[in-house]
Amino acid sequence: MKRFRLPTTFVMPALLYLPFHHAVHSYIDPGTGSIILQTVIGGFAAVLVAIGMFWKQIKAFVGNLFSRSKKSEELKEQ
Amino acid sequence: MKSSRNSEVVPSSFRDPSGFVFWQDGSVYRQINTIYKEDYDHLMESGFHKGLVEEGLIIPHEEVALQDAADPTAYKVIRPEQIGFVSYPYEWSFSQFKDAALTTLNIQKKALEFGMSLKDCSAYNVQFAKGKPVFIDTLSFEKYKEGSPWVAYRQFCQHFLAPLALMSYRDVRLGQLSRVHLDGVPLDLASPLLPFRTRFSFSLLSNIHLHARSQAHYADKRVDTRRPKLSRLGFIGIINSLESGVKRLKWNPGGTEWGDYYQDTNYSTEAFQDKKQVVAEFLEGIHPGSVWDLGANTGVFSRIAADKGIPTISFDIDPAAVEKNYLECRRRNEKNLLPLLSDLTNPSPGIGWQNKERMSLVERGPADAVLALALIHHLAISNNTPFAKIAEFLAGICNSAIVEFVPKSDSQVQRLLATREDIFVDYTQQAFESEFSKRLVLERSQGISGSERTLYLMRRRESA
Repeated sequence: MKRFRLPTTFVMPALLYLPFHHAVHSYIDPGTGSIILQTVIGGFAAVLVAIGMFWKQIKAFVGNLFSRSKKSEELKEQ
Repeated sequence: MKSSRNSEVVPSSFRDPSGFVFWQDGSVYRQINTIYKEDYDHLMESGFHKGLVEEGLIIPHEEVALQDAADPTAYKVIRPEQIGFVSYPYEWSFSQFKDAALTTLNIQKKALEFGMSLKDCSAYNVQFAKGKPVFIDTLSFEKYKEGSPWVAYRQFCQHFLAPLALMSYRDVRLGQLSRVHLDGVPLDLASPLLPFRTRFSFSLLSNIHLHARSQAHYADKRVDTRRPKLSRLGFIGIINSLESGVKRLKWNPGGTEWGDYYQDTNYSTEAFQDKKQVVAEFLEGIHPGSVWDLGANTGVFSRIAADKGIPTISFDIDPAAVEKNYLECRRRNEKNLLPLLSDLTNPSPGIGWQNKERMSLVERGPADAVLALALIHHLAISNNTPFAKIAEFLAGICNSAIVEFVPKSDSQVQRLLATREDIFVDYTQQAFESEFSKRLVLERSQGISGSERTLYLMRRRESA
């Protein structure tokens, strides 16, 4: 494994940004297998949630398409 | 024994460095340590806690003087609204358990909106107050750091999803596994016990079956658990999957041994009404502050007390009866009744570290009054328990009791004796009165018109 050394100009301020590690509050054992699994199914789940969030917009967009084509048909008939 | 100014830490409250729960002067308090200051302040100041209280999802509390602290590392001390009776997941019916799970997930979803997350998901964080599940662990919340996985995920799956799935898909009695496994049902136990068709449910497949495999695979591997990332959307997706998985779990309470009890008793309507009247009258005489109805079935007689505003617990051995009782409570929005599962011949023991973390049934008593209606013959005959031992048991859990004696000639007793040799020569009304009088004063007795049964009003004898 290649060793990557951060330039010191980055390290010191980075340490200041290191978040106060909340592991001290997370007193239970989360379980390695549980953590890994979450990140895997989280990936799929995120896609599903995103689709769910945009579903209304997708529906509205498609709905608009149809109502627009109806309007242009009505105009043609007049 | 707790002396007046002494605090005693609650035996189960030792794992979380953020604080602990203690008793003082007969009340329960929660100490919040300085290490938790930031999270607590955010919880209270962001409006999140207020919102939860308004929706009845979390137990409200008031902050009290710091001198009440049990410990110098205290930041604050709070006094939560007191819970009338502490119950445990292995005493809950299916729907009580399911409602507790959904309450927990609901809180976790709301937490994310306020930049917080639950750091534990133990079933013991939920209690029933005024008939509804309510979250009691005010210290469970931590600030959410975008990208970090959910620390409490394993606990939710073991404490809630696994037992509920087992109860729904295999046998409702598997809820008792919660009593043996303090940190929830291990997933490598739940997974092979569940039927194959559960693998077709995305939620159960991922959160139980794959989860069990993942746990087994990484059991002896060293992985830096700080590097894996879970996006906020992924987090929400997992919670949604857990929620839909729990919601789809169902259990039909019809058709277990006692579920349809009142359909096939030998009570005429007249006798039934008379019994209710006498019980009501006796209760008026006692005017108890709390009632335990033992062998309550679906809670018909419990409701006589509950409807008078008396906090009442309905105990029954049959999961279907407890379930039907709870569903009725929910439908009627009852505030004074808590149905619970209990086998009186083998009631909940003390469990956990030093057998003290979770209290035995008896430790959570005494009740001011106990109803033992249509019960004694089951204990005496089905469990071969002598009258003396039954009387001793009752005297240990109440101040007053309303007890029904059912003679051998009654069809319900005949039914119990139908398949066995009648060795119960001492099962007579005279012997009953004689043995019970040793422990309890038989203040009043009244026959139930239209039946051969007798109701007794008893009071525990003060020990000499």
